[in-house]
Amino acid sequence: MEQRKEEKNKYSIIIPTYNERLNIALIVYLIFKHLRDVEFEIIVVDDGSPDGTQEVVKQLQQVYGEDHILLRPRPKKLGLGTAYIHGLKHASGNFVVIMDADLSHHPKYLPSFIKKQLETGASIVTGTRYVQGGGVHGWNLMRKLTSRGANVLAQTLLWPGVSDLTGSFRLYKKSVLEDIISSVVSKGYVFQMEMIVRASRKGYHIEEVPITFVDRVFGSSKLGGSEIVEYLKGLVYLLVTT
Amino acid sequence: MILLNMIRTEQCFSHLITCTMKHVVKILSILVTISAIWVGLLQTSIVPRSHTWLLPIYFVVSLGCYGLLMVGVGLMQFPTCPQEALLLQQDIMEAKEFLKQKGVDVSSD
Amino acid sequence: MELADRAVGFLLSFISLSIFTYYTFWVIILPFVDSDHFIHQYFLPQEYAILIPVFAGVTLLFFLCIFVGMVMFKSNKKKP
Repeated sequence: MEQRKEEKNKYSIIIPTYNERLNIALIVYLIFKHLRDVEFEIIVVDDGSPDGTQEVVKQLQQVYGEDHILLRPRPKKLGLGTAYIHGLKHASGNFVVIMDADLSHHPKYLPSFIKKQLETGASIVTGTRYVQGGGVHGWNLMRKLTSRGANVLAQTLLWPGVSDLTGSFRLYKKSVLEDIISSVVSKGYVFQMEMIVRASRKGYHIEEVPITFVDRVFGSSKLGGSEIVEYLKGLVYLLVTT
Repeated sequence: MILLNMIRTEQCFSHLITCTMKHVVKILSILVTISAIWVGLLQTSIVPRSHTWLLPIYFVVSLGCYGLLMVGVGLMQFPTCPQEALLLQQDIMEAKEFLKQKGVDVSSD
Repeated sequence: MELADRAVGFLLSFISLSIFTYYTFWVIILPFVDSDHFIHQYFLPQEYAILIPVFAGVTLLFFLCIFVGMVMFKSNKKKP
């Protein structure tokens, strides 16, 4: 019975996009290359990109089939959190993978997420950049310093039991994601942190796999003053609400 | 907009009620315990009082040092992956080649 | 580049460890040593063991507040 259930697992990969016409094509190719023999669908939630991302996705549907690539656009930029909720509504799998479209998350790690989940039966498998086998490329000293400082601050204050709080390459059981996402109110960086902290407080089983994170455009994931302040606000918010 | 905010605050309140022990409470109770121990030490004066009255500030300094140490160690062992960038470039070339054949528009501008 | 970052990390750890050792000596061990012992000449009087950290903490908090305040002020200005 258990065996049969495992065979029926289906993975819905939700990718929010905005002006990613080239990257979405590349990422879809790489997903199909690395995900053999599992059932999956890719849900592209495009926030009305003016650069023709949706046309490219339609071309990709011609190549790979419309049952594998779903385009679920929204009229304008409405934020990351709601993009996931929107994608989730159309997901038919029992597992949901969330990843960024800018290729900083490489699809070659998808099999290790799935394997880890099958081995441990975890509700959430999250990619971590800060352990052996993981890593980051393309960050300058300032970026490394702030990321480290932020991590130490969060670890000492929140004790989340997860080493990488702001990473957004994760695999969720669909029911679990639906459960947490409804109670999450933050935006941006803090959104990912709130998701994992709430999940850990609710006692869900969380596992980690190492991933690498390549910033292709050097310094594109910049951390300015406002991001730092948002992060601090998020920390305080999580301290008093979870 | 106001309605949305109201719904949001309502959600926050319902959270405050449903969750049993907030994290702040945990941290505060630890701090209270520590200060209770300190006051106890001051009162009983097992160790001369002149030695114990500096302990809280010593605790804070240690905490600061711990934080700085963790940042330093983290920075020292920050895992980097320069080879991954090269591999990704190869993957991108391969993907572009394939997609171009299939008639997907992969011109980058 | 890579090496420089690691060196900065090492420097930070080193600074933190030295501060910790020095402070531990100053606050925990020194009171048990006779006041005419030669080691006392390497440390400032006990009052400074409070004054310096408090001063450092207040300055740090002050700069943090200024930073947060400036960022919030900027983003408030941008919105309307």
